[in-house]
Amino acid sequence: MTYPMLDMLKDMASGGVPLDEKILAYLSVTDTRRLKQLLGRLEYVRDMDVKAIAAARAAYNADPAARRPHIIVKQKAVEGEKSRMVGALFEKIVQLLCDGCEAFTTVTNVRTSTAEVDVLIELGPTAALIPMLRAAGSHMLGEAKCYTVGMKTEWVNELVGIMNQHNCDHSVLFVASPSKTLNIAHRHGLQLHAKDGKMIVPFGLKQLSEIANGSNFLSVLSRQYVSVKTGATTLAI
Amino acid sequence: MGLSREEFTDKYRTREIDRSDPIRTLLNSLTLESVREAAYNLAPTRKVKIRSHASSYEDLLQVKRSTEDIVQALLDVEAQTPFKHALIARANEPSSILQFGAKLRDTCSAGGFDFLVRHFKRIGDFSYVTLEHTVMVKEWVEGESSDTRKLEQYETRHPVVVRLCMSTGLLLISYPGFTQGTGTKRTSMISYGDLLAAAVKVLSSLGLNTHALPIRESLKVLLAGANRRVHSVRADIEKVDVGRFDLSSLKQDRTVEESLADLILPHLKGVTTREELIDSAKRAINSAESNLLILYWVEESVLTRLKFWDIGCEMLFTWHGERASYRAIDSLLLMLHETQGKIAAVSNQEHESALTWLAAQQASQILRPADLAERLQISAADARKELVYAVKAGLLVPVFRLATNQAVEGSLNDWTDDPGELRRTWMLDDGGEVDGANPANIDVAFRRVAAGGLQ
Repeated sequence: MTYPMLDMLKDMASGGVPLDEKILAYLSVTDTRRLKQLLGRLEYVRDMDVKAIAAARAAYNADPAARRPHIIVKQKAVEGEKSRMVGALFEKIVQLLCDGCEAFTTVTNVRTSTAEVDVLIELGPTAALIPMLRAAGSHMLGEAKCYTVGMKTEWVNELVGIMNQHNCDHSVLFVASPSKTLNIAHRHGLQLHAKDGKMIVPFGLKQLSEIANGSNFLSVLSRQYVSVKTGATTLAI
Repeated sequence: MGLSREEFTDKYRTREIDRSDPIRTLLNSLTLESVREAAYNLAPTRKVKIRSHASSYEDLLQVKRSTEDIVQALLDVEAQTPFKHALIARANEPSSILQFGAKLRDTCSAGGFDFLVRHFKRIGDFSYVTLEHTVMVKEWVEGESSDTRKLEQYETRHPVVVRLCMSTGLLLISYPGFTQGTGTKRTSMISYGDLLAAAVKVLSSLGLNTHALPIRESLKVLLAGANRRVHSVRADIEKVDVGRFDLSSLKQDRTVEESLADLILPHLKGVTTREELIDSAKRAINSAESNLLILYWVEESVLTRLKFWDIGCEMLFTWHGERASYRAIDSLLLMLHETQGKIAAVSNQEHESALTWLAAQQASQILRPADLAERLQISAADARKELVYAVKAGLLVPVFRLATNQAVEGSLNDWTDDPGELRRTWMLDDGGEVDGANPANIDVAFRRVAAGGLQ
């Protein structure tokens, strides 16, 4: 008589046995080469000097020999273009991570009756095997904040509002803010919402580079989840 | 050599009692991070910056709350951070701790100690009680001239935090430990054993009776063979008519048995392999009476020194790269508790416990649920549960292969530790296909952990 892996995973989940790295790697595979590429591009776009680009384009357009003048010339417009590119790249990264995970089915930019959800993550049957995803139920929300500024508590509070509107208890906040250990105000904000049953797991560039360097997505996600739940001072993005 | 007055003041500020101010006394007991946590809890909307320990008193007053509130917040934070020493026991009736709330500020005496019931709080499944007592510190310091010495003494506050899990009854009596200074006579020194015995008596007098958790029995099973969850890095063992041995491996990733095997193996004239020798050393050490054990818990990255007393098992925690947390302590205690429960559940029956049988199996042996079900005459579902628990206890690792009896193209379909190797579509002998990415197509068995295979 065989003992199928799916049954063993269910037994492990019910017995509170943590899944080891090899099993997590089986359940979630990330194309690290592609991820590194996208992270490299993201860094390149984020580092672009908007002022210099606007000035160069204006100078090009002023040249009578210019064959195709730039349409986006003003600094504000170039800044908008940069934000759009950062957003698109970040979305691709989130999509890449979720696509490699057996338990996830994702739909991006879902327009609902009340708002627009960046990523709607539907959880499949194998999600029940991972503690965080088991508690999440049928779906999670993924919110991408592609700003270069530091993480804000307002993002967390806004996301809780969206979660309430969409019958959702768990979500992942993907942020492109500079990597740092979250301060006590952020940690308490997350912990207070967690006490009310709204779990928001911040996922930043630190975690993305960990995955690009070989860590498993589910394992990193679970670690962040536990850090939020316990209010660990080591919680970082 | 005696200490100067300045050195004395700097070195022994920790936990000093300030009779004029309870807040200062508590601040002397807490770390800067804990004070910051308390400040935030008191005034989440204000940005109160606690810059340093020296200015923490003035900074903390900016929260603009009453002394009582500040003291309460500091005690809350103190109770929720584990100290390095802890006694593990189990409460007979966990619910009896709830009446401690009515006994706040009562002083209870036992064994020469006066404990003040200082704090009580219940958070979720856990109840916290802080008992505190004073310890006199005596230290020789430099006198008026360099050739004279003067005896200085002061009182320190020593908190003993009792943390009880209401659902399991697991009790942790945690305390930071103390020094009494070089001026205290040896005969007047307080031992931690006496202190804990007194604390247990006080708890009993207040209605919370406890008994020792048979951790030694659980450890005997877990350490019977190789284990990748926990291993001993130092063992002080004794065997009647044989002798007493103090063995130490000096490295976290090596067990004392491996060190012992490496010491003896080059001088052995026989065919014994290193694995066999490690296995024999493990069984020999496990069968002896242990006076002291230092265990390394791989998952929690924590070293624990264990001393076995009649009131319970005393543990000293040394954290390696991890911040001290109750989460890690709970994780290892729960495992010891569950293992003990599994052993006790079958102690009155004819057959041995599944864990004991699994622990006795040869290294690298492949075990399937049917083997265990037949051996112990239990259902297949129960056998699976026992095997999965043994994975948690570090005795077994799961191994995988494709669930097919047919020949697989390009593979011997042998057991592998890494299911990732199977994660693709495989061609079968009859022209069919099997999708290795679907967990339903993977068959699982378990391999007994081999000695020396800790990583």
